Amino acid sequence: MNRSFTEFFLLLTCLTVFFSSCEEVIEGNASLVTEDILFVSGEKIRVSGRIITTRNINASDHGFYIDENEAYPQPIIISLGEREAPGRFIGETMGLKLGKRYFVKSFVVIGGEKIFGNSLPFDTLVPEIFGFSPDRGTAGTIVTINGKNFTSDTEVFFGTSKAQVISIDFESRILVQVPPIGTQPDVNIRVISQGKEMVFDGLYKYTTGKFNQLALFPSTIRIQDGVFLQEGNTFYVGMGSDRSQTINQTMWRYRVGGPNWEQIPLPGQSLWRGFTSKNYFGGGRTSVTVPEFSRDFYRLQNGTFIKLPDLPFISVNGLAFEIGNQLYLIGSIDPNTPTSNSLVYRFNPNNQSWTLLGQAPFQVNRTMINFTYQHRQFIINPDNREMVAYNTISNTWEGIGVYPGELGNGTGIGAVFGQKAYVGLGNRSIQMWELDLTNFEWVKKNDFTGSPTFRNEAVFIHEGLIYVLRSAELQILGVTSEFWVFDPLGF
Amino acid sequence: MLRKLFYIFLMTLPLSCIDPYKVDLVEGEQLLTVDGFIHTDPGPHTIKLTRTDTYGSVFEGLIRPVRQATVSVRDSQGLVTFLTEVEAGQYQTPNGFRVIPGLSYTLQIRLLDGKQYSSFPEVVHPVAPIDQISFRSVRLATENRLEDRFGVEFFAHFKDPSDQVNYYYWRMDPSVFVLVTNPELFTNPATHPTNPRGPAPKDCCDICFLVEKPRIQQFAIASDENFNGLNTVVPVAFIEDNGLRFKDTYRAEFLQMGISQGAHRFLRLIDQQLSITGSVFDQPPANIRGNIISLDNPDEKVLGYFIAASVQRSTVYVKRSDLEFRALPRIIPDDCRTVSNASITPPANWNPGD
Repeated sequence: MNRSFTEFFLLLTCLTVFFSSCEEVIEGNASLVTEDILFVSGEKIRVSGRIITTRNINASDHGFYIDENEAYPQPIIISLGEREAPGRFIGETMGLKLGKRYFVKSFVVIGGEKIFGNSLPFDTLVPEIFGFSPDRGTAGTIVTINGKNFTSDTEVFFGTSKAQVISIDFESRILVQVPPIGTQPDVNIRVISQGKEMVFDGLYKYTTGKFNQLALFPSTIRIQDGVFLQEGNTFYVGMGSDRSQTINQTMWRYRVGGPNWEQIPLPGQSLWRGFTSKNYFGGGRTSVTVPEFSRDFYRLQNGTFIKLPDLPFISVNGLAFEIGNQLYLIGSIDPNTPTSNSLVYRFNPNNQSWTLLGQAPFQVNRTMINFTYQHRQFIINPDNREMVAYNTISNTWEGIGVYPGELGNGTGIGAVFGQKAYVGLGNRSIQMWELDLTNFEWVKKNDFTGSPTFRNEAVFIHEGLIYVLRSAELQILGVTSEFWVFDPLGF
Repeated sequence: MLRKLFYIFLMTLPLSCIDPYKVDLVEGEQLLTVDGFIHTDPGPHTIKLTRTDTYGSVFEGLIRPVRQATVSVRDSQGLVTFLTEVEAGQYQTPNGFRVIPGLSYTLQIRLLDGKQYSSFPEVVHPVAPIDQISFRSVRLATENRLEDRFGVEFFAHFKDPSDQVNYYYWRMDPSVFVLVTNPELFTNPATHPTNPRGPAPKDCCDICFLVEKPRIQQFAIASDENFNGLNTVVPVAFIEDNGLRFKDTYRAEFLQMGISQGAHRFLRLIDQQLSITGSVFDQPPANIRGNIISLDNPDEKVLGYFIAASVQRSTVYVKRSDLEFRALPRIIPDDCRTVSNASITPPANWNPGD
């Protein structure tokens, strides 16, 4: 019995062993690799890791440790949370310091055990600035600053004024809104990232130019197409028409610093659409409605209008300017033919004679923007905005460039101080531009702040300021003429 | 009669209708695909972004360009260069942009929907200059014993530097060859009113230059594990003689690029996939993962590889007299200017020598 039991037991054991199979134990340890540093900037790192195993891992957490010390005593921990499947993971963090060496390693927590991957060193970068554009403009202009490794706390200052940072793209391109102008029109731009200050060599130039209304004209007469002259700090305006309806029979004088214009006696018969330069006027018509022409010719000298010999020709709407003590008169000589509209005359005050010099390349009249610089007269052709210079020495014409602004409906300003010309403010335009006469580069000035439905009827230049008498357009009723002063460098 | 009907009935029995088997494919994912490389020559360099579409037995979908993405290249010093979209899905670096050996470059992509992608950094390794490009004419047997294939095989000669592991990638720029035609053999069209198909020789022109840009770019790769530090000759291209290319002079320009190990692995797998012939020994078809990852979802499949490489160039002129084997010349009985892309003006730097 016992033997049978023993044999049965042995047989059962053999069968159990025979039919049982070995079950391979799956290794539970996963391999962890800190794979590659995808991105490093001044303050940010993006790093990838990979969990390599053949089964799901059910990790309670995974991510990266970052520290300045490779022993990771006080790590910045990027925790990416639970993870079931193996594979690649990417972590990203901000808040690193500029130009420091750091170490990063991946980690995963499986079954309460924390496994670390290999450690990789990396250096955070330092910011730099390369350039900005545009380099000039008004407050509120959006300026782009190009550079690299800008941190998220980057601040930008224009002079001492802090600009609003609109965006920092790819840590290399900052869009900022230019703050209001401070005490200087030309300011440096400072960029500060994590306390590191970078300053551009070039300056940002605020748009300047300030208009102030000095007074309302003391009369309801709205002078149009009259004459205006200047002797030192004394300005004269008058004749022409009142709103282009009737001939204006008044003349006015203004002394800089005075309260307003004062009326003075008319020097002679009033004329409309005559030519007018700083010291001379003449020609035109004696009636707005009837074509009665005037050959009167006057010169302003020591506060007195001196009558000169009558003109040897008829001139209406001609453009006059003075260069080298000579008076030049171009265009609009009646009868109105294509050639007469562009004839160039010169008046020599020494022998009081007129000389016909030639012909302008296009028809010229007194409503065109023009200014004098050295021995050349610059005129902007309203047909194509081309700026053409008339050389009074060589008696030649030369195209210089194109006016970039709006011309409006004529009667714009052209004035020169030093080596800068100021151009603009035509009828229905509020633009003013500055032209550098050394390199012929245009810069926009601040827009006119008054009404654009006025026409400039008289322009005077004195001590860096431009004085303008502006009359409302014909159809606007009950509005007095305005007297403005423009400071090109004001802000 | 009944017997005849019975036989007819018997004949119809084995007949049956065959229904075409319609394979219902699962809608394919529209995977982002990145194609392009930047190198040490002055740009512009182009990166193309497209989306894949379902491939099936019938027309399924189009490969569409990815438009209006913000694409930039960032070097390891933090300098970011923005690319401009010049055509739908084609983004170009500024003119003159070039990579600097020793730095690593990352492609950054932000799509219109805000999704962001990045490449792994690609380190630019210097590459050895090409000492010479040599060539030999090749005659290949085909299934038709009377019609062999002919062509020219090109070899790059260079000295591999011994102090580093190098991976090479060769491409060709568009090639140029002298197109020889026979305008003197021109004949009138069959519709000619008075002399159909009659001879009408033309005075001009029998010599043109044709720029040829193959639709599928040939490439060759190599690693220096077998020739580290040695003077080496590697076959880099085979240009088939189609009867026109080698009628006079053929110019081939080769780019020898030093690429990363990852790029070499990617291109090797691409090469394997392109070599599939349908045999049982072929590699299984597969999506080859590149070095682009989605920053929003690292598990998203993104295709393509962003390569940053240093490059050396070499040009070789192949004259007809240099070739031992040549295909039968093809005759074009017309003015050579009637051939598309042909011009009588030689291309820039055309200098075949004597």
